Amino acid sequence: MKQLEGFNIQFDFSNFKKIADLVYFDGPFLSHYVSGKGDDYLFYWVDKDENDNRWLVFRVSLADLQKYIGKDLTLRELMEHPNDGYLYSVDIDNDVHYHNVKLVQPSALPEEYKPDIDSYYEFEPIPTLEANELMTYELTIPYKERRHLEELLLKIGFPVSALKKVVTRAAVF
Amino acid sequence: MPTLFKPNNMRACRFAFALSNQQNHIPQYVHNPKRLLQDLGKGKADTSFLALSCFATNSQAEFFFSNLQKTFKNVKNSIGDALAEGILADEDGLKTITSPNGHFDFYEYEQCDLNKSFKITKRL
Repeated sequence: MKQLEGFNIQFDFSNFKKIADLVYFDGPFLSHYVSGKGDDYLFYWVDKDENDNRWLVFRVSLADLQKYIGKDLTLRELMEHPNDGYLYSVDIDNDVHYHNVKLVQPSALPEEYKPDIDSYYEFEPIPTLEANELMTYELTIPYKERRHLEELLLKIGFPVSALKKVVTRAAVF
Repeated sequence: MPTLFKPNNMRACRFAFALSNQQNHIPQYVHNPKRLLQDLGKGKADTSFLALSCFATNSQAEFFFSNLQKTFKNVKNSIGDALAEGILADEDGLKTITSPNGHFDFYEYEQCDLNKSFKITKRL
């Protein structure tokens, strides 16, 4: 596999939970994960050899992820402007051990590790079985309507105090 | 298990590696039994990894491949760099329903070896 320019670092991926495979064929190629802190990340497959699969991992905002799924942004645009300004490169071996983790600037990526300019989303997401628990939705409710929503939620036995918790994150599905 | 059907001697095609016959037409869990054990351990074993991904026509397979390649330029290293075509006989195994994009899973019987009946027809 290609030698990537970047900084070797330690990064703990163990608390990441998969929300969905966004591109899948005989295995995942692009997956949406959420970190223990609640941040959203994409795992983007770029290469493999006999021992390892190489992935680029980068943080995205849910708004941008929604735009990608909605075909308003390309994957290339997401990758060239990751939320943190950099991506992680990680090699995962056949025993699912993560190693060779690097911080990589988008500009340092070889062309073969980048999607095409017109890499709009043309696939079907496959949510994981756990996705229902992890998925939440962002609602924009006009102020004057909020009281009605609270009344409705109380009627169905949903604690209004939990509402803020629920709407703090948004999901794309 | 999904609902399965006889293939009725249909012509089908698969992605394959043109220069490494031994890697071709092997279900993923057979190719990598560790993955099966890991997935079983996590309670996430997927029967489709015991099947072979096929397409009903080569044009559907090529369209799917070109879409993948737009986003994953090294996809050839993962799923294959060629199309292999052949006949799926009723004695070979059972298939899932064909999805609108032409894809279906093929569950081989024990004696089936598509390396004998499928031939590389095109480099991708």
